[in-house]
Amino acid sequence: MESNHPSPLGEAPELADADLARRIAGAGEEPAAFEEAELCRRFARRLYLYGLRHLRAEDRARDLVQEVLLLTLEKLRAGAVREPERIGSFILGAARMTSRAMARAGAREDDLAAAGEVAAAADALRADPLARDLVVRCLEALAERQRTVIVLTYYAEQSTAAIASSLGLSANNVRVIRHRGVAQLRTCLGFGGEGGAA
Amino acid sequence: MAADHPVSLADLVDLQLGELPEAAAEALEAHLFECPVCAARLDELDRIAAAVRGAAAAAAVAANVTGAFLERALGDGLSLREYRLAPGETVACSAGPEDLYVVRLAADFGMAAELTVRVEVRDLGSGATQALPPREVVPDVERGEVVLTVPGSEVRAYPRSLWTIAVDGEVGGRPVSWGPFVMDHTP
Repeated sequence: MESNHPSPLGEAPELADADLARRIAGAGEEPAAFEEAELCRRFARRLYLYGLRHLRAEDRARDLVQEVLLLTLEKLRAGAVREPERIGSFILGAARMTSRAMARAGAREDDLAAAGEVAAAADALRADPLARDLVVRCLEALAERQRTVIVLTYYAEQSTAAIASSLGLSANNVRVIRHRGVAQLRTCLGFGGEGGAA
Repeated sequence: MAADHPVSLADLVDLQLGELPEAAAEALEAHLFECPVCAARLDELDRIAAAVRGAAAAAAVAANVTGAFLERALGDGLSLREYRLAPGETVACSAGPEDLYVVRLAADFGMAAELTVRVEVRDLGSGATQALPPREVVPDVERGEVVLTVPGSEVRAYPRSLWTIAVDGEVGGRPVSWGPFVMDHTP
């Protein structure tokens, strides 16, 4: 039988997202504080990455996380989430609606924000020689062409088509080179191997 | 349309770059909200992208790049020491430790897609010569040049020296060599 009371810390990893959602929805007057915190912890990073992809600015991605998690908790507490077992889909739907609204309102401060983020990343690497050395070593370990495609993709923010056109390669060739380079960087930077279908 | 699991790294990269077709992107995003394992892998990709951006923005990357990279670097306020040479030209060069040293080798590379850059360094003090490891590079075919970046801190490690650069390739099945491009280096 599920409890409406806050769970001991050790229980959280055993609970599925749907269990957390059901407990929050069934908590009644006193909010299920631990379950709420745990649900937020699990989805905050996914929401943030979704926000970065769609809004292209860290501050707006953080705003999206805040808004969507607040909305989710409010709806769960009010019993307004019809299928708590599909809480991931609910959160994704809320993220889509919120990010569309934010994108419409946000206009184009994007370039400034992006430039600020790159400068911050550079400062962080300058301040941490060990991290910088590892990243540089891993980039140097790539085949020259992989390094070219990787820096054009992630630093120059060139599309696959643009890279293909400037290097006289096919788009498919660029994708293959990039995919292999990223896989090698993952391993070199300590994120593990391919870990999934290639 | 449902996303496959485990999601391929190639699909995650395409999603990260906004290059998946819309229906596939929506299916994959839905999967990511249900699957912490795949979401964590996408998180890793974003960390890798940030690391690459940070290293490039810190002028720490030696690479074969294109004009688009240089435009971005200028926009980010990097201190570029750019030297553009045609075959047979010599330029005086130097770089500070914070600079990004940029060599632009301009020639009619035609349809040569794969080129080898060979560099011989002659120490003007001792007279000793050293051949650097050859680099397999690709030209920026839209601008007709090979663009190479080197961190200024690496360039400064060399003594007063002459760097003689040759670019080898194949055009129409025949070997062709472009150069020499000569850099007269003062640390």
